[in-house]
Amino acid sequence: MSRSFDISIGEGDAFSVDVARHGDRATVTIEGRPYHGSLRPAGDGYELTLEDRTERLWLFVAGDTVWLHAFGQAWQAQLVDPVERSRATAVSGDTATAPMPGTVIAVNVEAGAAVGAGQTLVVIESMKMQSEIIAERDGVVDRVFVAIGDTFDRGAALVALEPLDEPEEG
Amino acid sequence: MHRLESHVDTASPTYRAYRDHNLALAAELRETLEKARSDRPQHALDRLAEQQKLPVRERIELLLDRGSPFLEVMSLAANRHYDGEAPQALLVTGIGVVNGREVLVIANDSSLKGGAWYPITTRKIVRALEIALENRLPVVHMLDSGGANLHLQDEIYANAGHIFKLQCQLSAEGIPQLAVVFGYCTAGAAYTPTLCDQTIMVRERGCVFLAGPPLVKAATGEENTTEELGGADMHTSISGVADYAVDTEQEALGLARDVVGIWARREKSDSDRREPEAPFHNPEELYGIIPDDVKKQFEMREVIARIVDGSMFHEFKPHYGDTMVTGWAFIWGFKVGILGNNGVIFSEAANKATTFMQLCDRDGIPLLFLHNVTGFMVGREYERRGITKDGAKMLMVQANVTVPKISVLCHASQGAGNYAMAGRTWDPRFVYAWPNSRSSIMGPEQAADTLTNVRVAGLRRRGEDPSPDEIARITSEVTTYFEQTYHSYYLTSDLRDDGLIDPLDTRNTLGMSLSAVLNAPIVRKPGGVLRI
Repeated sequence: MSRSFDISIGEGDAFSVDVARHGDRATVTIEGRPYHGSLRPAGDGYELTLEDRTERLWLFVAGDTVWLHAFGQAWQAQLVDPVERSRATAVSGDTATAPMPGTVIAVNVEAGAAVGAGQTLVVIESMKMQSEIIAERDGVVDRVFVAIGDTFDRGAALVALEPLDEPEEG
Repeated sequence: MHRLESHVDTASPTYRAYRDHNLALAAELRETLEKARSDRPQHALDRLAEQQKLPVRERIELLLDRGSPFLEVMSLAANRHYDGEAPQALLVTGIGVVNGREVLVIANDSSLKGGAWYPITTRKIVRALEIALENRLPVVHMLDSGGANLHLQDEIYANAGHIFKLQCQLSAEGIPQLAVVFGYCTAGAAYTPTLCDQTIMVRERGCVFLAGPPLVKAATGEENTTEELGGADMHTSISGVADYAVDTEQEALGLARDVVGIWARREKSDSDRREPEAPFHNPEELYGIIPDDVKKQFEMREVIARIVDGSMFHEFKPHYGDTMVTGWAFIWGFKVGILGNNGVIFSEAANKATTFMQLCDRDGIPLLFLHNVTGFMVGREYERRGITKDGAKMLMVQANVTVPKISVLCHASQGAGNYAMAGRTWDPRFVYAWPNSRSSIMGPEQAADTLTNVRVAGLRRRGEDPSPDEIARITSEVTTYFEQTYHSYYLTSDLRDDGLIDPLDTRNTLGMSLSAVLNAPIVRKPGGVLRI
């Protein structure tokens, strides 16, 4: 039986961790490197055996956060939610398109403007509801395809950002 | 389950503008409630004191376990009806704890108009008894009413019979009822204490009869005092209509606590429970998340993160039908399946909701609907793909699930979207609304456009050419009507929900409601779970 997790420590990047259990021992593969060991309850904490070294360890779990005390140090580790991660890494094109047919009620940017991720580009109204169309990444507005009062179909291009250049070799 | 991430920028001008707007709405709600509950003219309070009667809230306080919560429902009934002369429809209803048991309290407020029934009073009693029946809650009736307001008898009489029928059904279901008679129970109202299992009467002031002394004299010439005809001593020692006679209201309420304490204690329905935990994200931030205009969108996950235990949520189908958020969470330790709108319902969103409800039905998990919906998507593309067919599936499954449903109108709740999300007419166990919410058959602007076009076309067919002023007048007339009737205060006044709540109170209200719904067993009869 094997399970994969993404775990970050403190504010750092997430590590990919794979746990394969065999009997009362397990192989933990962190970023491709395997570690063999076991974890047994001991008193109010656990006893961690890693390769040929044994240490006492204490865990406290709250939500997705695990506080870990071992080797005379304390760490705060965070389990990364796979749903949030996949949302954050969803492919974002250069062009913001209409999620449904509607009418433009505000245009907040013009060609050449620099925008940040999350900034409102245009506001549309459809089905009595106003939605903000936001920039999915930082960039510079290349073209605004619509003006206030325009109607559009689903999938119509609303605002395009300038394509991202590949970083030049310096 | 994972902790929901929040993407709210509490420093943004939008957040601050929304927050100011919603804090003002919350303050207005508090003031309106306070006024409805306790703003009574001095002469009304003096009259109660003269009659040696306690104000209704003091009676309830003496009944309930000290320091226990009281979930008042329909507290702004009639606030926009009868020129405001019947605050709360002169009736207090709610769920409280007596001797460790959850009970439903129905208490007349005789501080105004002698506690007379208005049409909304009748409907409020009926709704309260439905809550008792559906959730198997014992009932304590605290009776003190001069009877029906005869100027409005037709509307009252249209519904009053339901009260007594429901009392009979409650009894058949093995749900105990106790009456405490503080004042008059005349004519039809005499049946309420008589249909209860146990009845306590206060001497000199409580009386039960089909007709009072003046009416009897007119009918037969017989002369009686009130006490002779229907007083506590007569009924408890001669007729057997009531069981206990006491001298004071305090004594009556102490005895009522004893009686409730003798009733069997019920086991709650089995449900996945865990230790409650406060939300990780600050619920106060709801004020800055809910927009200042019902047309503006917001992210429902941000609301869920501020209602559920630990802000922990397991989302179902997170990448499919993204205008419907579905997933599991705990509220005050009770597991719930949540359906929240993130905009208009498309076919995929409806199908996702349908499957999700079937999953929760399979597992006996109560459903919570968080409304922000303007309806199902319209247009050629969507009709060709059978949007109505997908909507019909959602309605069919939602209507027939066996698990309890609770609805909260968070913002917009319009058209068939309200039906699909278990609005009032789909009989959820409880339905609450935020003061910013609006609910109607369509939006005021769409209605104004449609009706103006129809009226103008009609005038033109008759050869009349309406002036721009005339057209503007028609539009404004329709808009005014819609804006009045889709307003949360109007809807709650007409009992279209079980109460307006401050968004900040949502979590506690839902916790108590979930505790109440689990008094009734969840009888599972799910069909197969369809992947549609």
